Amino acid sequence: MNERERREDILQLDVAPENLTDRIRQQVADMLEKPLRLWERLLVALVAVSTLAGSVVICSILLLKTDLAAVQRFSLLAALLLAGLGAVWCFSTLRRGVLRPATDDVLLEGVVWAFFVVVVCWEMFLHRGEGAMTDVIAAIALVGFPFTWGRVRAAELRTRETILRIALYSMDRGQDAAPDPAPRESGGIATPQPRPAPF
Amino acid sequence: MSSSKDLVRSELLAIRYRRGDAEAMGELVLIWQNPLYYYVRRLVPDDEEALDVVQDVWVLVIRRFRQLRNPAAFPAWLFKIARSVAYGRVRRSQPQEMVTANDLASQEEGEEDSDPLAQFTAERVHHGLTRVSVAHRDCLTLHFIEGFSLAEVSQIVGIPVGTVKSRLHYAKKALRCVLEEESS
Repeated sequence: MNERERREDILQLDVAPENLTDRIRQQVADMLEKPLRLWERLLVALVAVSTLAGSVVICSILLLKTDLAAVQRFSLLAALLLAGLGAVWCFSTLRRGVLRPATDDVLLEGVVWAFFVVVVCWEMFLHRGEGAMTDVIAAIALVGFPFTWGRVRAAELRTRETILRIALYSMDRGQDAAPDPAPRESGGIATPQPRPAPF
Repeated sequence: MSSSKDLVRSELLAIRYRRGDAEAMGELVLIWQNPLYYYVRRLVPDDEEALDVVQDVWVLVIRRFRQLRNPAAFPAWLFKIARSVAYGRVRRSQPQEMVTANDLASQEEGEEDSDPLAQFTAERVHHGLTRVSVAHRDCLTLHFIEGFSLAEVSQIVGIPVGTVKSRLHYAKKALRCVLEEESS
């Protein structure tokens, strides 16, 4: 009997009850798919109202107060984009009917929101009005960075997923001798991981 | 740990779950349910408690999934959460069951480990585990039964690799003593 069979034998001596897996899977499904609770509804409503009000105010300033719009163009642009992000979040949440904090990619949105808050504060306190083109380029670069970073991370995950699917397919085809996929850090195909010594 | 195929599949499922596939979590539960239950059952005193702990662990896994930076490390991360939950429960219900670092340090250094435990059957090792201390049982189960490497055990238990080696040495010795005592 080899080490692995021995391990399997020991694990089989105290297996989980048959209904436990179903109970947990149901629990997991309930957690992931639970409908919006009261505070979540209030949060969505708050964001929606803020977004709507902010958009109306910004559009009014842009249309009616052109002198103010010329001075505070960055603040207005930032606030408008922020409102757009809020609207997208509200729309996607309401369309799904659930919040999925574990899977929603709120990190990227949070970074972008934080950036716009910084830009608004910066404009408000420093009153920058000169060098408009430089500012625009800088703003585009700064806004683009978190999005680009997020896309790079997503592409990395997709690539890793493809590698793992290929490895799994190879194993299913009976090529168990094929090495395990590499750790994320090493990039390519990995060497087999050393196993612990037997008893 | 499970077979290399299970490890690949579990990393793949962790990535799928991170990318928004909620069903992947159900499959992860299916793969890790038995090894996790076995480990938790070694740490808590009865079956009911183990069932509660296992359920709590999966709830925490979902809540904290964003904290998992490397999907390949999912098994070690899962068992670390399980250990934390199980120890927390035992500490609340039976504080005398917990083994402190002083208890371990006070054990005397013995002769070199030369007699492997392979001579004992799986059933005897399984039952022998119940007779060694919780800290020893913890390391033995993680390393020899679940198949985690020393580095992974170190991460799960939260102690340096050198301490893991030392603890495993004493744990093996203690287990062998128990098994030999039963034999005689």
